[in-house]
Amino acid sequence: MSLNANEAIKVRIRFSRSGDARFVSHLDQLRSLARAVNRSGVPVWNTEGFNPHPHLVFANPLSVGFTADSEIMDIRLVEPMEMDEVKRRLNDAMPPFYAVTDAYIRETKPVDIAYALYKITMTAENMTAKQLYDGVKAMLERDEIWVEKSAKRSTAETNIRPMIKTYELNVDGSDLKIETVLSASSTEFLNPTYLFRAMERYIKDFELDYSSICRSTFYTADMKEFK
Amino acid sequence: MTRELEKILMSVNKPTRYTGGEYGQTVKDKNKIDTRFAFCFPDTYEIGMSHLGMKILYGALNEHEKIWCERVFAPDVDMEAKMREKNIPLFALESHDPIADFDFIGFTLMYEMCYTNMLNMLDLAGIPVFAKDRKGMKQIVVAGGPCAYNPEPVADFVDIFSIGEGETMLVEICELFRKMRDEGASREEFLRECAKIDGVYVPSLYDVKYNEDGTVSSFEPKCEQAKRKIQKRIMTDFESAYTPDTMIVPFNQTVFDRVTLEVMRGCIRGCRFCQAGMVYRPSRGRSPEMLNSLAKKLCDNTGYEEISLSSLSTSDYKGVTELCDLLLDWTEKRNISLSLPSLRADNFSQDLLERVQKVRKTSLTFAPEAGSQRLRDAINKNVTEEDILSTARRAFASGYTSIKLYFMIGLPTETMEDVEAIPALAQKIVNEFYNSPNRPKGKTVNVSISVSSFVPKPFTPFQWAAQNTQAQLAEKQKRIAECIRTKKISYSYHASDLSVLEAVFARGDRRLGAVLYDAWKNGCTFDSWDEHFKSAVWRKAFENNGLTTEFYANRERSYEEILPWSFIDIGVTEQFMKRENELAKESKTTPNCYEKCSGCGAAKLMGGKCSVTQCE
Repeated sequence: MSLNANEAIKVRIRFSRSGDARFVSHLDQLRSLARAVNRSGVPVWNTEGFNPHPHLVFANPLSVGFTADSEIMDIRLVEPMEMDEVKRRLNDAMPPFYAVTDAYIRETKPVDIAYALYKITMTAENMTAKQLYDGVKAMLERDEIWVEKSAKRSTAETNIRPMIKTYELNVDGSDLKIETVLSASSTEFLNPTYLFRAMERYIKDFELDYSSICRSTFYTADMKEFK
Repeated sequence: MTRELEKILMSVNKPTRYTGGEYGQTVKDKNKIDTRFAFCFPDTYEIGMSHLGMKILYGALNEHEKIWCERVFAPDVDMEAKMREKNIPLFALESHDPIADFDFIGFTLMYEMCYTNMLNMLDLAGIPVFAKDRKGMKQIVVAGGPCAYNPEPVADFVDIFSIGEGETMLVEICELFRKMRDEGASREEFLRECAKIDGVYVPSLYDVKYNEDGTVSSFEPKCEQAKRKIQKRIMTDFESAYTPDTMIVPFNQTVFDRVTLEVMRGCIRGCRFCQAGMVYRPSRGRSPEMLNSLAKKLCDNTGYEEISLSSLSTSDYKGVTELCDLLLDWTEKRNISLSLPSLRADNFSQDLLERVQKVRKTSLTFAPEAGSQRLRDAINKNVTEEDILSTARRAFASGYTSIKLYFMIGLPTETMEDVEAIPALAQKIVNEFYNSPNRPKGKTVNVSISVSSFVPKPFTPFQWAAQNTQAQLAEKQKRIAECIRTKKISYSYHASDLSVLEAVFARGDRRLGAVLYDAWKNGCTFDSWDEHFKSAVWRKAFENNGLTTEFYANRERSYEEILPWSFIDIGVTEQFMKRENELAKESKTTPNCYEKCSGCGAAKLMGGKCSVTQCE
């Protein structure tokens, strides 16, 4: 009862990654999760051609060093299976520090994603958390924030302020915590590490010491959670 | 993981090589175990994770409830620099704990040029590099693998060598350690008791003396537990020997990223240059049913998309076509491909060819080793030119357009004519392609020849041979290049500096320990990597210690000389190897074990009849 590519059941998997898995690159993650799918026995549609493997579509690549709460991986089932079963089997097969948080029939496309929420924990050299807080607050209150942003084959001076939708700052012990919603569509995408580049430019004596970034939630253009 | 380590990992290349956390790793509760074993592979993660032996021993040790075996690889140069800068000692991947706190530090010695990496890893861990400086019932350095068959050059750095197949030996060593630690024994007492275990060699229990001319004059045990002759360990019941049914699946790409299925151990051919063929005798295969069931479990447990049948000579494995059929039955629909490296040109049947090419065509690789029939006979590589050409013919007719051939130069009895026969053979294969009526249309052929320099190895009939000098090798390499007149043949060869060092350490004695230490202290690591190999530093290390590479590599040895490794018994007798060496001089061949038993001596290891010939 194998369905073909067109009839196949469109399923969306949401997964998290934490701890040691933060260092996995996008391509390595793709390969690792394809093997997890193989191990799980979930009947996923495979690509055709020379090197058949499970067809996985990731809405957005996740940078090396980032953890995440709710990443998106789309698959197609060639045989029906209960969503609870899909979730359970995949979870059993995931590498350590990866977890499947949800599995459901999808109705939207990744192109509808407009924003993403990032949770950043950071410290700067030779600066207290309060000093850093003040510096970052002042920077984000500016109308324009210019950085050298790379596109496909070039870099250009870009004003990234319009791509910072919301932000919230908190001092937590010796860390600064930033929760910020940034543009994350296919046409406008701001990697949160650009905020550090901006801090180098706009905050006196700023030198990044430690940072940890977690991508938490995706939103549509009207700021509803993307499903 | 500390923030310090996180920061470092964000700044180095391919950080997942240092984090652990892969699917299939073994993590135990520290409170429930009492013995920690750091299994160190003295090269990078990508290479170590491709190594089957490590997977087997990792699994075998972790089967034991009270032992936790973790993995350690040599950090790449950028990571090492950061670790030294921030004082982060070498740690194990699973726990991130510094290995200096571990009971056992194990090394697998794959090839001679990894020795400096072993010293470097001990140093990075904060463990004394010399065995005599390590105290207490911890940091016991145990080493095994192919180079353990001549352990002498690293005797100063290792506490225990495990010689032969380690599946059960390592656990026995750990068990003895646990028992004696409970009894309050000292390190010295433990090492002496350990020497009684079959296959174990404790170098500190022996004294080596040298003659005026530098050859070994005596090799004497210092106590009653130290045996005069140490017989290698062998898994006589290979079918039921422990083998893991799961493997760790790395995040990043490794050299071999697939299920490796060991179908057979040992080889029936008796090629006279080959150490592996001699030291793994007698040949033992596993049943196709067992292997098929193991393969299925491995694929289920790992999610891998490729299975590789591994052995020294897979086309000699009696069940090969049956196994391929059993595997193809379920692998095809799961999109799992089969890979069969290590095939011979003289028995690569049409049947096998058809099975191999069913899923994904890669190029075919063979190792004629010598270009002329005369030399192939002398080295006992019983493959004829017609075998090679007819295999090429069939491969081309089936759609292959790429063939890779391995050769060696500097083999004993070699003449320039033999050398010229190498490119001539490649040309004949190119001609076969164009004469083949069914060849793939519109495609061109590529025959690539890879030529390495012969290194005489211990426990082979050629162990007394002199390696060609670098000048001789250079001349031969040049001659081959001159003979190639078409772009259809690609030619690669290795620079000979490294081959000389390989030859020195392969047949070296304990005095080389000082050279090795000097070379490492002055910056040598990752010697087999072109960009890191420091020829000048090595040369200085030899000079400073009053030794020459010529003494070890280029000197033909007499049958009367005491060879540094002769205290080891591998089953195959010295008498057999002398006989084979003499036959080589007359270009006479010896039949393989399936054709006729040649009485090599390995049968005695099976406790009765030889597993191959049923002879005693």
